Amino acid sequence: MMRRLFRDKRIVVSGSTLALIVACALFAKWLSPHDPNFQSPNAITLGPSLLHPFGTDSLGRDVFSRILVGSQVSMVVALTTAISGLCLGCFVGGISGMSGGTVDVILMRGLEFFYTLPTLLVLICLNVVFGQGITGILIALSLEGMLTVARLVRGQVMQLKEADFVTAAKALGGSQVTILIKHIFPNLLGPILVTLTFLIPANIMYEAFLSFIGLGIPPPYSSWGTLANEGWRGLLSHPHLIFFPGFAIFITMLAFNFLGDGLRDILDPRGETW
Amino acid sequence: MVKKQILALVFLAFSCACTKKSGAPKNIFRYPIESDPPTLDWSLVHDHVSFEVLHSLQDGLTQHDGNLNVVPALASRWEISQDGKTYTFYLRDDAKWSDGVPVKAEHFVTGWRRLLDPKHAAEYAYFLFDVENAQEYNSGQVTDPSLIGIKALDEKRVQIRLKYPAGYFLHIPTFAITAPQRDDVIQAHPKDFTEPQHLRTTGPYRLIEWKHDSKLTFEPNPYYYGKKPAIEKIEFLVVKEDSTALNLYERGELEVAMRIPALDLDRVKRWADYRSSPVLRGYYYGFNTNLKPFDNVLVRKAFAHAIDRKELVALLKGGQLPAKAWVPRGMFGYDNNVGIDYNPSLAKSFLAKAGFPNGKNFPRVTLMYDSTELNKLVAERLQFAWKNVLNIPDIELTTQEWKVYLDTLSHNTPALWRMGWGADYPDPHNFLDLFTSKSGNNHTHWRNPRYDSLILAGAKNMNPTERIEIYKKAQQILLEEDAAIIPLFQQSVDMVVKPYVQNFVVDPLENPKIKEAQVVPPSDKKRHAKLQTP
Repeated sequence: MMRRLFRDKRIVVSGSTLALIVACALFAKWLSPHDPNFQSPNAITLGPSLLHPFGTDSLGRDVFSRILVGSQVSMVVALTTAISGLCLGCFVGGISGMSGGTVDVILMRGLEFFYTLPTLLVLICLNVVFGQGITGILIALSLEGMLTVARLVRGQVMQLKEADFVTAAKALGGSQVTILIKHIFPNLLGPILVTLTFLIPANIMYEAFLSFIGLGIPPPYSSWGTLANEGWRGLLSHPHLIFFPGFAIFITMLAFNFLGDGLRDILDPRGETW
Repeated sequence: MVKKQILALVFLAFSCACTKKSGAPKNIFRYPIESDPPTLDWSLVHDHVSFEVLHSLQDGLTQHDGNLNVVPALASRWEISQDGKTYTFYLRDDAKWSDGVPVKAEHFVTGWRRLLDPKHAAEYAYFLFDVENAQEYNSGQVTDPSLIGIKALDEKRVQIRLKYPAGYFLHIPTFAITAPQRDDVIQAHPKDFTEPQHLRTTGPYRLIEWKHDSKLTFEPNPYYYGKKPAIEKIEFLVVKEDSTALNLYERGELEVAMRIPALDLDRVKRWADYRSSPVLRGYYYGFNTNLKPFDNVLVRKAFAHAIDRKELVALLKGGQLPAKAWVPRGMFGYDNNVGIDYNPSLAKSFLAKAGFPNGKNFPRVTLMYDSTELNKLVAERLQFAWKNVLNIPDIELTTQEWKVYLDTLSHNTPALWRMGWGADYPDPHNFLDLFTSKSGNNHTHWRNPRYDSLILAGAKNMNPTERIEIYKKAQQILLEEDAAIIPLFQQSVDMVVKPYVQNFVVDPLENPKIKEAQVVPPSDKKRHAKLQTP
């Protein structure tokens, strides 16, 4: 298993890129050469230089430091929402698939109801309740992830609960909960892991998108999305302001997608799509 | 096969797009506006976008020439009584509305009564408070509108009686809010008389089409008394993002672009199309002096002392001038010695005296601005300055759309907010009257009877030297003693104008002078030619 992982070049390259990005995010505080929120009046919109490797923005802040710190926000948002979405989805999907019948119908119709609500609308409502900030984004993206995962898990559970080993466990007197946790979920690990690797970049993109249209985290904090939003305005005059945040998003998305592809090929050779 | 069809379709679409371009009328002026005008009911207007648009639609009794002198408009001449308190305006015989109905004196009476009617709560009502019984009627003390000092002597003569001889009074009827109103039109369509099918105006242009949140189309008013404007069509396009406006301009889809984003100015400044001139518009931050901690004047002073205006203006990169005084440069009464200077140590000591030594225990406060790029830049700079100098935690920045923002300021004023004020007429009274207790545009909740009486004294006084002293004292109270607002800088018009547009200027009152401009129809080659960068 491990050897197969390391033999796949895609996984090795994308995995090490991601490890580097995550390390940058974790140690952003020590890696960033300047205070990311410090405005230097003498260094307005400078191009890349030794002192400011990615240049400075229109308020004289160091773009490199802001991207590093912004990666924290992007990563935290993406990871927490992906994981919480995953847990919620497993919970709802598991119950729904395991019990079947009325419970299944009620849960699934409920999910479908949320599915029809545009995430943007949900987010705007949440922003009204919690004020503009990170809370609304976290809840909205978790909910979005939950919907996808719950459906996937439900389908898999329904399929697996007819399997011989489940019948055997039932005959031995295992309760529904034990069967679900001990026998079914371990078999779901592959597809879940693959979903996770697709959920994370999707959430990074979504957070960037929300920040880009101004619904994201408020100033002076930065995420890649807010940086891109500030940067594109100077596209023609100061292209470095959009290039670097855009490149960061691009590389991360690419790495996650390659990782997901690679994992899918290994964990799920039949190549099911979800 | 399918591929071929698609290709054919693409080709068709492309050729259609091309023919459309070359077939468009040439004599057109496309002008970007920041938002849909909140209203075109000129009596109730209270924002600069509406004024920008109305300037080409409505004429008043008088108007400004290029040097801001008052010259005749709907009134061909006027007489002022010996005591300076009674004005008689003689209307032009050929002054007509856009449907051909002659302009009568009674239309002015209708307009002014409408502006002052307490049930409309017009923010600019105080503009006419120099007129006899105007303030009394607006506040409900007088209920009979016929007691207001405006009277139609006959069809063509308007008489105005003032409470006191106000030296600047001839400037007031240049302003769109004082333009006449048609009672018959309003009665017939009370809800939508500002829509193109009903709107009647007296200016050089008339409204042909209004696609809300998209564009307004004007064509020359066939009944206009003055010279027919050279430009046959104006399109005011709602372009919310300033950078989008610049992009459209570069693609040849606008004849002019203003409010050029700071990020683009470095590049745009090198063009031959670029023009910059200061205007009589101040940009300031106000406090809600009812809200803690800004009810404490020491906190307000600390905030004011913490701002380095020179640095701030350098960020904006345009022609803005740092200004600590409120009356702008180029206006009578300008005095750059009034106001609170940048002084970090003084700022710290004021904050300590107010009970927040080194920013300790300073509550979380909200700063609000309307979402434009310039405002965001300024807000983020101030957030940093206050954190850096006063060591207070990050102030929360929130934004709203312009229309919503205006409403929020009037009804639910945030602790800190940004605003601008553009001169309606070139007299300090216009800038300082804004912060009197009676002003509908004073969102600070700050009231000072001494200030109010000074402004009144300044209005009544005809002696320039004495007036300068009065306004200096008033500014000292507003800015230094009570620090109700922090003026930051004087705005400039930084714009790019296509070389084929001639004589287009924006005057210091920020009125786009479209009626005097000409478009020399560009050949298509010229229009698509790359912009020159010497």
